[in-house]
Amino acid sequence: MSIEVRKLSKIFADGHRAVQDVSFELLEGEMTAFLGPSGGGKTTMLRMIAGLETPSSGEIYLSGRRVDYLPPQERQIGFVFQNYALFKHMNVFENIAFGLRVQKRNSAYIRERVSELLRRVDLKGLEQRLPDQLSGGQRQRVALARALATEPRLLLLDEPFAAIDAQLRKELRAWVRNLQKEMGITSIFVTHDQQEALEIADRIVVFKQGQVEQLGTPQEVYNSPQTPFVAGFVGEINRYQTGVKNGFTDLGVLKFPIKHQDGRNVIVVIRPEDVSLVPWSAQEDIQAMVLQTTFLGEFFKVDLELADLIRITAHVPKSQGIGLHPKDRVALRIKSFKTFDGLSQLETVFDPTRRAVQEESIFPVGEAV
Amino acid sequence: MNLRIGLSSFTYLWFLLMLFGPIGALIWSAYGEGASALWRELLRPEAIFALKLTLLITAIVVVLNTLFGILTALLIVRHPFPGVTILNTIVDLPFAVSPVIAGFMLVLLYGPNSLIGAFTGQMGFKIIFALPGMILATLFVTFPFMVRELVPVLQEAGTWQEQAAHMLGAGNWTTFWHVTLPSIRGGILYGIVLTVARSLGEFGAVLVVSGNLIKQTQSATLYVYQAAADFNSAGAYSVSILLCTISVIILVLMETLKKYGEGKRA
Ligand SMILES: Nc1ncnc2c1ncn2[C@@H]1O[C@H](COP(=O)(O)OP(=O)(O)OP(=O)(O)O)[C@@H](O)[C@H]1O
Ligand SMILES: [Mg+2]
Repeated sequence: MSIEVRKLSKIFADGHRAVQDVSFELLEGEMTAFLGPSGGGKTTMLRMIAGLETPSSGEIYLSGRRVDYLPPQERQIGFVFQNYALFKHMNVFENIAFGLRVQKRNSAYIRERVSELLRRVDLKGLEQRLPDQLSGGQRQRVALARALATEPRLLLLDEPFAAIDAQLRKELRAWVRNLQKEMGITSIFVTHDQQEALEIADRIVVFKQGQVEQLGTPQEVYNSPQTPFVAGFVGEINRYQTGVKNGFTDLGVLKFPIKHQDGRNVIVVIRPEDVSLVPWSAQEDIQAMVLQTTFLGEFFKVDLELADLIRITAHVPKSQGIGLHPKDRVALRIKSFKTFDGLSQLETVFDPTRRAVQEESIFPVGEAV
Repeated sequence: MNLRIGLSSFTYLWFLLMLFGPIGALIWSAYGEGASALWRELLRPEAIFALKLTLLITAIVVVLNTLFGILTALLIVRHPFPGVTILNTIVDLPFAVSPVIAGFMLVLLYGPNSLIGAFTGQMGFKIIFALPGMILATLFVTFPFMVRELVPVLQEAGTWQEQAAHMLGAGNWTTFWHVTLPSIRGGILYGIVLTVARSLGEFGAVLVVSGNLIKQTQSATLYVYQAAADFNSAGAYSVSILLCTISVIILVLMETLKKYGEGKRA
């Protein structure tokens, strides 16, 4: 089922504008992530779609039909709450069967459907347990099975993995993703974990202070952030505020050609993985000194200082990072950067991908220093 | 360590003095009268009438107080309206007002000389010095029990389960019946226990509104009071012990039910 939201706003009784004039459209069968910082309005947005919160203005359409005036029980939406909200006094079986009982299905159908769902969520044999007698991950799966039992047209998940430890979290999200794909059910999940959003979403909606900053596929949002905020929230960045001088950024050695008028303020954004280190040589444009290296498992994070005391962070492969030490002198190449104007709108993308690929083959810097 | 032993023995002593002492005294004195005398006293028509009346009042009060208690608690917690804090305070009024004064207020409002009392009197229907007044008085003094028991339970439960039920297609009635009610069942049971105990034992308010007419408006506690005043100690002991026993049985029954309810699904 497709969802369309038109100019939706929510002003709470205390005057707080939690969602402001938000419009977007999501496609049938897709998994969408609502991503954003705490208080960004993600939960409020989700609750308005569900009907648990009344919009102050705007419209919501499901498959082209307007639903914002319908009570939640008539929208055929499945909802997995952040705290699961299982019925405490009912066992697992009854929790999952609840929606079917409301639909007055016959007991043979209910038994069959619940047992099929239990198999899907891998909880066979726990039918008689009460929610209190389950682990966090098991509760989460019961909540999911309960929401899926009535075959909703849309599935909403509010931080479904928030209360679960890192290992299980990874498994569960991959598993939910598969289930969603398999069943082809349109889904939205809320998260403030960018990794989670990139990993399992078809599309990402980035929220900030009640407004949509950007809507796009994970690749679009990551590779072409429309604002410095999105760039910083989805992935890490080096961020510089500077002016334009003679057609170049006025950042000392980080002198990039840009097309803007002189004297304007711009924001330059460089991702750490777009900074590559090469052996020091007098010919290189950007020379730097290593301040600190941090091992982060899959790569090293290297903090560097350039001339004019500008600092920059690079992510380098393990093989290269291992040979780097504070005070080492290296040279930098910037594979890509983006500039935004004073109003934070994207202006320039510099992304000579081909050149960047060649540079990656350079031998570890450490040895040459 | 010594302090703890001291404290706990003090607690036991306190319990002994305050709780078991009086009960023990009652049983001991009753024992002195002899079982046959007690039994005879219990079977007197006046005593039986008084006990029946008390049970009737208790049954009606429990039903009404449970219904209105649940409604009021839901209103306070789930649908706060302007002035809800005032209502929340008024609920406690019966705790603060002496039952005798409460009974007196009812007499003023519904008594034969009041507007309402005169009106119902003309319809051939008495409130004060009759059963309806005794029920009203008992309702008044027991009103806070259910509400005070349920408000924190409802607050703690939050509305998550209700929201989940709505998302699963349940309407308001189904949600109330299958989700809200079972989730506050423990609180309701406990509220009922307190209401029953208080209804069985209420004296002051009932005394004022009933007029204490033998075999008409004499409830069990009034009977005990009358018997004691008339130096009929066997009569006082027998009915007292029965009332005590009923209270204890109900307490134990509810406690068992509660455990059973928690251990097993709805
Ligand atoms: N019932 C309410 N009354 C008043 N303000 C509210 C209410 N619910 C939420 N808000 C406010 O609206 C804003 C958006 O809240 P929301 O819960 O939608 O954020 P969120 O993006 O889900 O945040 P998080 O990631 O922390 O869950 C917050 O500033 C919050 O304080
Ligand atoms: Mg939230």
